[in-house]
Amino acid sequence: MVGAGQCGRRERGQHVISIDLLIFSVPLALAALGEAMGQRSGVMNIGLEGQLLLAAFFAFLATSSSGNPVVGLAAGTLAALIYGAFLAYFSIGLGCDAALVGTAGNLLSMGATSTIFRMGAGGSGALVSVPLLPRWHGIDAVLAFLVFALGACVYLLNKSQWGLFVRAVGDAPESVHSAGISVSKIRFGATLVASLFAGLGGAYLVVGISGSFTDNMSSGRGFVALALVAFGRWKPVWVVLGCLLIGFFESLRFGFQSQGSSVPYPVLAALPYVAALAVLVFAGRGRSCPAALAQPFRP
Amino acid sequence: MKDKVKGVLAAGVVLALITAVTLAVAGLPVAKSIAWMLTGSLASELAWARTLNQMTPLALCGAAILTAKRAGMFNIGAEGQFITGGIAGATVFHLLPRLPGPVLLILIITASVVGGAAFAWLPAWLFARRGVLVVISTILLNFVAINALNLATHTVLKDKSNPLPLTAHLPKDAMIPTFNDRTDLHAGTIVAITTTIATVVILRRSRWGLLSKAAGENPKVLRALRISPTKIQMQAMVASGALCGLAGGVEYTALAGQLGESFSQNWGFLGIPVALLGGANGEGILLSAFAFGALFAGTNHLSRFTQGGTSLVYVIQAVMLFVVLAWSARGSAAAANEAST
Repeated sequence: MVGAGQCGRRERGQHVISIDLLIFSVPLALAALGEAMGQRSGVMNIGLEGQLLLAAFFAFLATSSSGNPVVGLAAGTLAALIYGAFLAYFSIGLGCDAALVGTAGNLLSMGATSTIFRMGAGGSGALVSVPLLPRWHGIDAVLAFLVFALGACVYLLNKSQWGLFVRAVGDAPESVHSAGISVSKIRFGATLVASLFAGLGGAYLVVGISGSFTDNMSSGRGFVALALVAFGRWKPVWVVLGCLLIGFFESLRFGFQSQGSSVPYPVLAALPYVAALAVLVFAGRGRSCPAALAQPFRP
Repeated sequence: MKDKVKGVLAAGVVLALITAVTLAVAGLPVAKSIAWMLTGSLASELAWARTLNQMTPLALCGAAILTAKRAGMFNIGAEGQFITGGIAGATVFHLLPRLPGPVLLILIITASVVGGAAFAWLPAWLFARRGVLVVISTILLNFVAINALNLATHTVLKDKSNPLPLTAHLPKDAMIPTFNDRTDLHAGTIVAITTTIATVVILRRSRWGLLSKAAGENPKVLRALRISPTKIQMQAMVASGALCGLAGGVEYTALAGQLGESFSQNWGFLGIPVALLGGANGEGILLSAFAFGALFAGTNHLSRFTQGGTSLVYVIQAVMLFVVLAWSARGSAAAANEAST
């Protein structure tokens, strides 16, 4: 379910802080930003890893059959939305244990993408390339969207009525329920926003970075995104900054490898997770954690 | 009793249906594929050995996840604890390579159990003392374990005479014995089955088992008895980690003989559906582990003739999980309706 990072078609240069760093952080940042919105409403999406993988797979299928990366981006996002709604039906609608629902989703996505891929394009062993999104001065639409989305999320969460409801169902669903507002509807909405972001992030792995699909290509990013939400204390800006930090560590790793450094690569690879754990150890659950996180609501 | 037989039969029929539909959707010839899968999992001594060998880690990890789950802890870190068990065992061999085989074997297994338990204690402590959700900390620790395995096989524990990143191979007399030379069926399977049965009996019949169930379902009862539910939950996590560590140790000393980057084959994750389908109290956990062991062995065999492989089992497990979740949700909704009227 987890593995080493994937090598992209766009090889990284020696310069460490660059647009490349941003581009490599985009899938993780989008997934984590969406997950932060979802978790503020009390929903934890353990199936995020499978969602990224599914979006990447459908983006690959649609792009390779249409030749248009924008179609791929749309198809990947749509797949992630359907997947998100399906899992939400179980965890929010039926009130099942979200961790079990997410695990089932991950298994389904991993098994299905890997099976279909092996039967089709991947079986021949040939690397199928698809076109990447167009760029202007190294910036593409999804990267621009990330910047916009970050601003929008901060505004929506803190200033809008919808954001107030989202925060309220994350902290005190009973009160929202007593006020006559449907907890499930608000949570479902937040889940769809999270799924939209995860879909864009997953599709971006294919149409923004690698230009092809490999088995299990999300390679644990969904799990890292989950941890990063806690790392960023459930605040969108900090979550995205955390993602950039992870992207920075990853680029360090590539740099170290090419220079033959004495620091062993697994130590660097483990650093982000140890850092995230350390933050959790010191900050604990803290006040910023939504009080009703990962608890199914039964009125 | 009759109800239980009915339940098992129903689960078996649903599982067979899901398997058939999955094969059909994947575009494989259904009847032929099922025949190949049966040949590969149950038709010969070799096939049985394959099934039971796949069942071994599934049963132990399933029992581990059940132990934690009953106390209200969702241990997604089974994968990491499995790996840590392997690393702890390999470390013992690295430090004391000259010990006589059987002594070494016992030490390795003990170290694996302790290693897995220690690796589960950390998220349990974080939960009890700092309120960190076990789901998140165990996911993070999985990555730490995977990277620790990579580091160990590349550096400290690496066999210097081998260009590949692998640890030194255990001597034959320090490995769990096999029953005969025809198959690699090993005594570790018996250990796994006995341990799983013992775990279920402890959970269902002992005082601690009852307390852990209360910690998961109704911690207020424990507080009223002046027993700390978090303490019970920590114990459950440590026990869960010990079982995963044992699974890792058995895998290391029975089949692998050495550690490499691909030491764990996702057994920790695959134990989650095994545990859930084994019932809330684990009565069917061995059956569930056996069924999925057979599916893995069968699809392994299937992949020799078709493009379909073990990834099919992931789909089958997932669909089965969704069916069971929907079924139990329907049951609890009906109960809630009854209670309100």
